[in-house]
Amino acid sequence: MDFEVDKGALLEPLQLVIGVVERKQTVAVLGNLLVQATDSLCLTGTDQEVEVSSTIADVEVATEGEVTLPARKLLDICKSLKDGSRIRFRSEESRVAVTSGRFRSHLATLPVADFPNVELVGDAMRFSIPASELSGLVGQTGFAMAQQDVRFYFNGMLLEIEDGELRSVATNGQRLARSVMTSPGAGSGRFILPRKGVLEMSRLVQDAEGEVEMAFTDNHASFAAGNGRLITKLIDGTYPPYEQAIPSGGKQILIADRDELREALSRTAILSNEMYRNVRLRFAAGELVMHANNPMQEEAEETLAVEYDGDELEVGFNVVYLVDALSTMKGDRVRMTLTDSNIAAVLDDPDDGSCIYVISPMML
Amino acid sequence: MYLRHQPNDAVGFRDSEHLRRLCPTMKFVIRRDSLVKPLAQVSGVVERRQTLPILSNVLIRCDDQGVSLTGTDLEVELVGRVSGVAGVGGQVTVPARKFLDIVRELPEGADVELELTEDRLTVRCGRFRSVLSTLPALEFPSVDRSSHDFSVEVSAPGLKRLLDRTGFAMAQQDVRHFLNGMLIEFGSDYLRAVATDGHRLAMSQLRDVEGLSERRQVILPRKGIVELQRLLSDLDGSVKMNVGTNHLGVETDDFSMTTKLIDGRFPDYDRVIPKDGDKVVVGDKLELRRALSRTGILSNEKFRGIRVSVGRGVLTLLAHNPEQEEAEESLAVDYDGADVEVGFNVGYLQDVLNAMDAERVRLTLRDGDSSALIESAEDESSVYVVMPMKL
Repeated sequence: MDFEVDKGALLEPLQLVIGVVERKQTVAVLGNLLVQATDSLCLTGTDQEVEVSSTIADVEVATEGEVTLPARKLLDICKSLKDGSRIRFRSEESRVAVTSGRFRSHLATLPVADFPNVELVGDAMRFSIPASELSGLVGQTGFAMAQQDVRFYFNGMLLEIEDGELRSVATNGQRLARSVMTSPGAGSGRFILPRKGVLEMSRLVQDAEGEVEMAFTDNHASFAAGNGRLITKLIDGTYPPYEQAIPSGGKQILIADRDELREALSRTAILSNEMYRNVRLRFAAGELVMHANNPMQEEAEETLAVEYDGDELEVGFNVVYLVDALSTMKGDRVRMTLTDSNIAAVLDDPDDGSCIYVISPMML
Repeated sequence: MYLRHQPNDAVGFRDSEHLRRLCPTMKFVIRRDSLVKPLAQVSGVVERRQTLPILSNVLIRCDDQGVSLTGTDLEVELVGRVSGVAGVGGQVTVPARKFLDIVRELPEGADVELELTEDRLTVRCGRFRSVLSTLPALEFPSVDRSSHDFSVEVSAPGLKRLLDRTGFAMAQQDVRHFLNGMLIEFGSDYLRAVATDGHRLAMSQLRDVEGLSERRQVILPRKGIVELQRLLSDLDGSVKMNVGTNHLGVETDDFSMTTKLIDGRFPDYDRVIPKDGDKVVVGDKLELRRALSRTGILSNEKFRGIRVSVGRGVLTLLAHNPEQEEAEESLAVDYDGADVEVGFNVGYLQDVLNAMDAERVRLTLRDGDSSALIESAEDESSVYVVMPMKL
């Protein structure tokens, strides 16, 4: 293998694929990237659950070939070279010489045969949508995924294609986020993407232009956008019937300025119980009173003028869940719909119903 | 000595001063924006983990001079002042982190009212109100600031530069506790800073400073240096340094910092600085720094050794690791002496070049077992020494 590439062409794809490479791994080859030089250059990183690859067309290949190279060191070398540098990679027995100008190095390789690959097997359901739309869909809900929950399907995101809609849903059992867009194709299915697959996929699509091509089989999903491609295993399990968690028919409706509400909650939250993070919201005609206190007898309270003419209500919430939802939302105003103090609140943008946030109340 | 208030002490009620302590009051209104900066600065001194609860608090005091805020970790104390604030005088301590978080979250330009009633501090701003727990101001420890021996006026940016150029070489958690700090030497017309961890040494000096008749050396603890760097970071004018036997104070317009001094004998830096190097290499600093960071990637991750060899007109860096990986780079330098090869910790060389403010760097070597002397080729105010390592 022998090829030359510009630092500028190599750096971004390298940064994209290195995201999946864990800093510490049990199998040495997982710390490496697969580098394949044909008429173009393809870099692949994997953690056996998620695989990300990127193709670089602007490369001068003298001899085709493939090797695996230590990912982190390769990135560090690439970053430390001067902008505009030309880098040459050449196989020499069991090592690869990486040279640029007066810099010469030899990197250790591991056998290509040991490098695991994740493949899409069987018939796939395929469609494509603009990358920016998928990025928006995932960005609106991703924060609500659980982390290291024993209910493993919560550590991921549900992508649901049904009734002409594409929905993303994430929940940790106490709060839920759901975003909906028109489905780009026929067919239906429910797929649970693991947390890491979701995070890397949103990195892939966030800066990509044009369309992202998606394919789903029973066990895998793949996303291709620009020069990058990601394949992730799916979480095997049944996602709980989340629709039941979304209350309907709430009559108590509050409308507030989103920034004002978020800032007031952030202030009040400082003196909430550090473990439970509970705040008490008191809904009254034209105003919302937020109140928090902690075991040190410290307390904070703020009153905000809002549009509300429902019943007087007092509900406790985890303030972090409220602030997370308010920080992710985009509109100027937020609508909060309640039924009573024991039923979850629904937050959404009164001017755009594509996305809702459901937050369970807390015992006070 | 700190007085504790004793609610059951009936005798105390006859004493009006004592009564005031029992029922402390304080009330004033201050602009949120004039509170944020001093509070953030002062809270920086407060350690996140505390042995004594009161050390995680800041002391708020309101008197004729205005409002002052104090944070301490028993080693370093920082006082910030806001003048032109009037109200009911008094003093109290509140949790630093929470108070700062609240003030930061309040809207810019707003007025904040602080009121102490019994043992609670109420913070009001618009329709926001919070109540913070307090601990008595009288229990707040103050760093002993007994009389100082002499004072020196020095330019704030000059002092900052001195610390920035040498601070990286201080030891961390070394048993030789005096190495976990920086030597400041006051001389006839200069101020000198020296830091070393036993493997490398950095020395920098500031000339034309209002002098002392005799040389005086003090050792400032690491935390004192770090806080002083923060304090000086955006100051223009001059600051006053007050030196006592056990402490050093620094006065700026809005802050006073006091740090304890480390008691110990700092190594004689003059003996560490090699004087018999005869192989002088001059090269471009940026090129050398970049070549070091590239080749350093493939050095042994634990020992970080790199071989530096110089020959006529060229300097070559070579690193390798146990995985049989290696990196090599050579760069053009001004040199026409004999060949020499020395091993160094690449991190130490990078630290020096990062701290240096120079276009070209001068490297003076003797042989494979001698320390390297590194200086700017343009400016002699700073000197760095890096010990060799066996490769």
